[in-house]
Amino acid sequence: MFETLINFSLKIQAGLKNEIEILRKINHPNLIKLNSVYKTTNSYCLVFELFSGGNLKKFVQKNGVLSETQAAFILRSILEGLAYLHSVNIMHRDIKPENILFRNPNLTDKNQIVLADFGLATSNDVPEYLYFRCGTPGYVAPEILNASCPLDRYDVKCDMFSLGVTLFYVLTGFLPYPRKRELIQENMECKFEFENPGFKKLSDSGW
Amino acid sequence: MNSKTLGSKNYQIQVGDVFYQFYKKFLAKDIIFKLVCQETKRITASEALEHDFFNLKGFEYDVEIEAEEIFKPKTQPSLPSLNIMEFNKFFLLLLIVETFSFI
Repeated sequence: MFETLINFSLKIQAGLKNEIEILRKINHPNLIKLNSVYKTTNSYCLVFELFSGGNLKKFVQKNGVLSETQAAFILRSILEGLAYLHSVNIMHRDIKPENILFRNPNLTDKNQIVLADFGLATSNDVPEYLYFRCGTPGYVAPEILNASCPLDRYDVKCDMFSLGVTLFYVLTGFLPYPRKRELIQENMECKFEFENPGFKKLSDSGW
Repeated sequence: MNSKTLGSKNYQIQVGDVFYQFYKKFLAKDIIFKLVCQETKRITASEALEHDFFNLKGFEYDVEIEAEEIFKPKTQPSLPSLNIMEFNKFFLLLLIVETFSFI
């Protein structure tokens, strides 16, 4: 039991070190920036910029579903960050509305939108992480859920799947799987339901 | 009815609001489909950035979307107000002109 706890703690430490390493490597206006790291006797403190605008999930819960133009504006900024991230061979593996943050409540330009939480991010050159099952049920790519051995490696495209589900959510207010009880199974089989009421309703004219 | 411009720099058409909304909806479904499809067919981040959905606002490819315009609160458009005094002055002037022309 004690040994298991030590192994678990070592795994967390390794994951945290990996996150810090990745955060130090990246530099893009649409990706969260690590300011500094402090180590105390029993913990690490990671200091980030303050994001007072909340996250995309709260934004949708407060203001209702987004129009296509609003969704395009927000996710385009995230895509720019992702394109950079993928160009340096890093995948995020946990893209979801909760991890898309706003610098302040008034969205005045695209640099106000930032992708955060690199806890599951990894470089493409770490073989043991490339068949590791992780992510948020509903948003995770099927190839991650189906990965079980080194032969089942996945790549940066797993982030694109999560971005697609995020886009679906912000436009409709729902996840694309009709039966919530079988979420993981439907996520794994990628059973998408496009006959969602959110897609039948047209946005307001203009924007 | 308002109209929007669709198309590229070389070819543009004016469309009504309803068509524009349907087109936006179509683009949204199209990009989602390309993002969640089978891994081998899925588009990359740079390819997605080129998709028309992420280049909305009339779909002119070089236009930067202004955030303030997109996220401003929805308000009912106000009707143009009719200034009665201005209208009376104009009518009087017209009457004088007409009278002189008759004489």
